Amino acid sequence: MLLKIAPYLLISPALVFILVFKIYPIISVVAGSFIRRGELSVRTYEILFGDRVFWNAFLTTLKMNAVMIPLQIVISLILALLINNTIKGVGVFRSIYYLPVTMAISVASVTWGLMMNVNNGVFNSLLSLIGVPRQGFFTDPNQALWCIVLMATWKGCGYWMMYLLAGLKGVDTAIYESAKIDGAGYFTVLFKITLPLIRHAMLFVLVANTSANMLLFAPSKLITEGGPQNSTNVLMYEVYKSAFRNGNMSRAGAITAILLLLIVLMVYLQFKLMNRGEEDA
Amino acid sequence: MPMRKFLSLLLAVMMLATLTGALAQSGGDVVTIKLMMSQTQEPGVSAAVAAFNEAYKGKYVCEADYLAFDNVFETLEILMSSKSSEYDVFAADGPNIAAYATRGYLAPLTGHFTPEEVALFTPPMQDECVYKGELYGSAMGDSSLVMYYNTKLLEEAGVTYDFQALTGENRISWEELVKIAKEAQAKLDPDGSKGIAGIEFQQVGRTYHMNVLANDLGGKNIGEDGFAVDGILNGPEWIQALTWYQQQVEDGVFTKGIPANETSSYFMADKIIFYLGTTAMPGNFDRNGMTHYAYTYVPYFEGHEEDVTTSCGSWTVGMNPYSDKVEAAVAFIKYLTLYDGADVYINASGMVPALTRQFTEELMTAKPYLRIAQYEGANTALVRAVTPGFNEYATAVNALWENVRNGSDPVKAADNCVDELKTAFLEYE
Repeated sequence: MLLKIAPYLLISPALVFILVFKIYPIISVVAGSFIRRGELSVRTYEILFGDRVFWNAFLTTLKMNAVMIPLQIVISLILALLINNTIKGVGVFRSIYYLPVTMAISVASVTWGLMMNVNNGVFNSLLSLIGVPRQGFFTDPNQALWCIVLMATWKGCGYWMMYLLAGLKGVDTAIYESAKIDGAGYFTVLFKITLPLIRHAMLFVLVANTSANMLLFAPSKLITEGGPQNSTNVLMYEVYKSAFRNGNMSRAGAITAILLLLIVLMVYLQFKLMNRGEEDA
Repeated sequence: MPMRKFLSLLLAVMMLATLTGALAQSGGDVVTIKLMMSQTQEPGVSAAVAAFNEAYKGKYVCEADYLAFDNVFETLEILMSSKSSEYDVFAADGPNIAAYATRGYLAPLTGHFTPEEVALFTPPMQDECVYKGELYGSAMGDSSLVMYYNTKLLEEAGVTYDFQALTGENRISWEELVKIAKEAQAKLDPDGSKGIAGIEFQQVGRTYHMNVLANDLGGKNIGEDGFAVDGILNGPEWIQALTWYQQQVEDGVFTKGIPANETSSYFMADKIIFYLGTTAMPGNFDRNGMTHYAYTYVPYFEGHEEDVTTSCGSWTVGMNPYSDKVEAAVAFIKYLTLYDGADVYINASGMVPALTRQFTEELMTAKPYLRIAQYEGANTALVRAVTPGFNEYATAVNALWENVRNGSDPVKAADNCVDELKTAFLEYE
């Protein structure tokens, strides 16, 4: 009897923790989005789906992530491959690439905001040295979102690089040696051996990166406040504005629920895609 | 034996401690109230809180937390949406009174204030604190708009215009001010490398100051019902104001890319020639050792002499409806806003008095810029949009000014702002 109960007893602390701090808040937020003035209602969703600001934030979130997620993964992979060598001093490069991760996102946002300041930022000073006219960066509706992508990529790649490096370290070197003997080139080894063998690490990075980037909020809050012209107004910032500026918890809950669904859908597709690859292999 | 002695001694000490504690508790019925206030108001409020604690020694104690300006609004939303009683009294920015009252964040003060006490406030402050016939906030002070100018820069530029001769009835026009600013910029910073701007508002990109431009052309802030924005924010007066402003930004007269909280630093660093700000600014300039400035009345648009407006309104204090220390909270609110504390606050803060009796000759002599504020309060002051959706309004209109500043087409930007607000206001249907 005790043996039957023991596993459940052992996992119960973690289970309670997950229920209280993960599941309950999700249910509470989603349920809250259906309550207006103490009554059950779908009016919040009706208003939301007719709201141009919401749809703009939705598209901005998708647009930003459509570029940022692949970009970060490719760069992280390149960095991981570079530092997976055993050359002298590789540890220095590993530390340098990882360094931005140690900086808080708020500090990184403020620092990049200063560096890309339209009036006296260091980026514009450098550009002026080579004769390029002053750029608007975070004040230009055509550039602001991509400046955030650049900043987030600089900040995040080192982190994902470490997971991919761990995956690369797990590949048996004998396989590379066999491939070399068989005359396989660098790219053949990369695409036929390395990438399939680090599939699980890639899947983790893909899923975790998607979740993290879909919830990216600090640069929009601290640098651009969603502007200019709502060009950096992502869904998470819209949640923040609704909840903490306008006191509209119902709207904030509804957007959170939609964001949650979006992330679940994307992660599901990623799992399907990676598993299909595994089956094919 | 020693152990027994030690235990007896320990017991005696514990009894004494318990007795002392009990006596202290029964001797004090001291009620402690908690206040949440904006850090921007700390110099004045902390002095008033100290005076309150001294005046009500043994009866009430006020403990104040000072939060960064932006955090006040967020903290209030978080606490009050969960019906928290952490703070008994809190700072409620004047324009938010209607929104907070609608959401049930503020307890009505009408029953605690006599009509005579309400009448102590200046008329604009009575308007700001009353929503649907109920008094929800008690104004600590008022604000006004004054035009400061950098005398050193104007002297270097050889500008001889006599700004000191200007009066409330005889102001400089925006058009002439821009001309002077451009001429001064051309002399001080011909290639633009020094980054000297001609004119700037203290709260650039915020409805509080920026709406003055549209108001100066006869534009309203919002419809009478507190929700109508179509035909107002995208009406001809607003489009004219937005277009004019964008042109000045493009010409380099107004700044670009500088947030509101940094403009005063730019003025003090001799990077802005004309600076339109509140009467709290001289205190800031003094603290930072800036002496080469003077002040005068704000401009008007040519052909709109009668439409000139100034922004007004400021922090009020409100009572938490979930507080169980009503008596102490009311005593503090009245002390801070009506009686001795109000004088302490005004003397220490540089704000414009919210009470008619406070416009004394002594105060005016000590802070001469308040004469301008007094004139503007009586003649040109316009309260911000009175709407339960003020947060949404401010967010959208702030973005409108900022978008136009960054190059958006004024007509499209105004239409977008109106669309956004129409949807946002559906929440209040």
